[in-house]
Amino acid sequence: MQMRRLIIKTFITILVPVVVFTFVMAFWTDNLSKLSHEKNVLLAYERLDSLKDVNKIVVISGSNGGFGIESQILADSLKMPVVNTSTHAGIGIRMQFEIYKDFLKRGDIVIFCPEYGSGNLRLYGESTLLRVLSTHLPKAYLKMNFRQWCYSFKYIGIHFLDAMDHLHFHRPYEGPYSSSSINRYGDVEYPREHMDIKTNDVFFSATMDEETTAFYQYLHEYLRGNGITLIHLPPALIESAYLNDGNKKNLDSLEGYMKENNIPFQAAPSRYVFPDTLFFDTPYHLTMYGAHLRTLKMVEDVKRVL
Amino acid sequence: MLFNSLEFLIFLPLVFLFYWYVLDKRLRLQNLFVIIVSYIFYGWWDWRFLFLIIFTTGCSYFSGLAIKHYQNQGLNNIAKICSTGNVIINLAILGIFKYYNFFAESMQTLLQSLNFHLDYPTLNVILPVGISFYTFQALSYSIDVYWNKINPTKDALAFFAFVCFFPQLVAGPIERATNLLPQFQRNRTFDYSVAVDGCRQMLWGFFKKVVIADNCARYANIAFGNYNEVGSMSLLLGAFFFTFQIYGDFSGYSSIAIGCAKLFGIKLQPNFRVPYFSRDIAEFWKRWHISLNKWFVDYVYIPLGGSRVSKIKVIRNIFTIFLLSGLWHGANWTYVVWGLYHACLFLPLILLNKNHKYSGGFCEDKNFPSLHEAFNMLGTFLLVMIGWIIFRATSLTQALEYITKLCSFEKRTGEIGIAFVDSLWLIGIIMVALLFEWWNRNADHEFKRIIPKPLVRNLVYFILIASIYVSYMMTIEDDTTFIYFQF
Repeated sequence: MQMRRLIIKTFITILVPVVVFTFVMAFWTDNLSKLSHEKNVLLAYERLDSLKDVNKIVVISGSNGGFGIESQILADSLKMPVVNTSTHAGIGIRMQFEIYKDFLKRGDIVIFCPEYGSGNLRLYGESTLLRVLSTHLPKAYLKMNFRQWCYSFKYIGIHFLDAMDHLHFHRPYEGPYSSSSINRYGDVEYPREHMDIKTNDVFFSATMDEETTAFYQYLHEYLRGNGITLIHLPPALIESAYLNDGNKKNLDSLEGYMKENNIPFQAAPSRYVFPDTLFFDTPYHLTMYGAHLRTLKMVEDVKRVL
Repeated sequence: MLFNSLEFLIFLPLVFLFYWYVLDKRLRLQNLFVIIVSYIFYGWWDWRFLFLIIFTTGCSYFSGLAIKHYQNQGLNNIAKICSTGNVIINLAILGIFKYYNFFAESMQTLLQSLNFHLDYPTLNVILPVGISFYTFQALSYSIDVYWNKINPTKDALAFFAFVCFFPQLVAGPIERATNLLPQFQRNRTFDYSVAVDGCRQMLWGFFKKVVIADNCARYANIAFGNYNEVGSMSLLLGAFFFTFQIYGDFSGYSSIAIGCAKLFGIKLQPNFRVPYFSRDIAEFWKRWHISLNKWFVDYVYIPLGGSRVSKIKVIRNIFTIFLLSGLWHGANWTYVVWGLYHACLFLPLILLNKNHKYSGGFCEDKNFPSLHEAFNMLGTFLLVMIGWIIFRATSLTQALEYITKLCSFEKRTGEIGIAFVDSLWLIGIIMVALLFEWWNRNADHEFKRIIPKPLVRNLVYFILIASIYVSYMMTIEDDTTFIYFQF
């Protein structure tokens, strides 16, 4: 009897603060994120909500979409409104799709171009997801399933730690990563010049795990089943990294794997390889001119598929 | 398996339930169960380590029986050989795994400086976790049998459980057979108040480890990792935070271990008694890592004559145990110098016959120390803190440079450093924890005194658990292994 009392009391004493503080930490807003381009998650959500009854082009991607697409060209060429939801690869592909899934309707076009990468990091994201949701779109927590929670759980403390670091961040924030750089489509529209980017290391792996593959298959089937056109394109990639022998081999192997699993790219990865000078500060972020050139290629590919 | 891991969070309740619900009042099965779960706990790091601990335990078990057997037959010389043989075997294992490379490399350096070129081969072996702890525990048993302090046990299950009991297996307290072994030879009954007390002690231990030590580590690592670039203030803060990191880490482990053992009806000896309130170095060593110091006193200091010999010999004895204590911590000259540094601090107390000035409790009849006592506490704390700089440094050069730069009062030149204002929150937590420990300074452990009002008591539990949880989640990607595991 006493032992049972001890077990129950201990369990409750531990459980109550753990549950309370899980929610406190998960929903803690990040002052820096409020002012950053991550606000696009909310802006895209609101724009999609206003366009839910009309056909549109929705771009789903990590930051290579935000820093690499000129949506005006897409809108003008395809005569459809464009919503660029691309914000940060750290949100994870699954939630990038789940947050906006309900706004998609028959006749819409989804341009899907996530960054290369492997495993659960790309699929389920990292602390960025919690930061973005808690700061901009808390109701999207309801879109997280059990598996996503299991994966994201370990990032709760890291998100909270970052938020604590940014607790006193209230100064004006300018630059390409600020919320003021987001244009009405969701693109980052801010003059940005090429910076020195280190691309010596192999920075992506060609292996795609079963869970990610299964999600891509689900995404393809879901869109097809709902009469939505999917354009699955490779992301823009810096040339020096591509020419790195390891990366090129990885990409060839990835392309083959995706074909085998019925989730093929609708353009060869090499088509989206651009000279280093067209990249801004990372191997995925293009300059304004780079984004312009990339979008012209995208328009050609979309038209070809349509 | 780490105490501060999810695996242990699952492991402990399962073991507890099985131990009391299924095996209650079945002593031998309980002991067998303790051995199995302890080996699982230990083998979680590397199952190959198990062979070593089984061998060490077996050696001590059989040597104990052999010693008694020959003593009963009047063959004391053979009994002595058995005892010495066991000591040599165990120390040889310890020496090979822990000290061989250190001595080989040091010898090579020495010979090279004398223009001799000899290549000593070095061993590429992993240091088994907690090897110094269980080796010393096993050694004490056979020595005690030889000295007729205890009778050897024939109950192999009880003996193996005594050596490998998982809460104290990897980082102490280093138990004596006289205290722990009899507890594995008699029936244990569940006692609610003892179990609750154990939970409270564990809670405080987790607080010290996860909230204090792991957060202090982040600041201490900045200072020690960049000591050439940061200013004197950052170095001072780095030393301060390491002083509390090592305290929170090691005393936290001991509190968790002792509290955890109470859940299984086992009472372990205390290992720390608020050491940072010590008024001199002699008192500090009565309150810091008590089980190791008692070990050295009983098995080295007293056999050498203790303090009942001439002053010169007492000094020799003091230097011997501090040198060994330093070496026990690891195979590095920094530990040796750290040990000798403390021996030097001890010296004036020995010469002035003041090494027993403070013993027993302190400030028992008053709430606060006198100004004189507070001054002594601060002085002792600063001396200990300097010692921790030597202990934490990766080399003697680093230690010397760290201390020199600390005393130069230089301002920060680069961007790296510890801002006092940014670390105030942690200093605040440390101060609150110290106040709490002061409140419990003469109690059995630092969280012994029960807050009478249930609401306040539950609020304290809530705050402690919440801070442990938040801190754990914030440092989830950091390396939060206990420092003393490497010893």
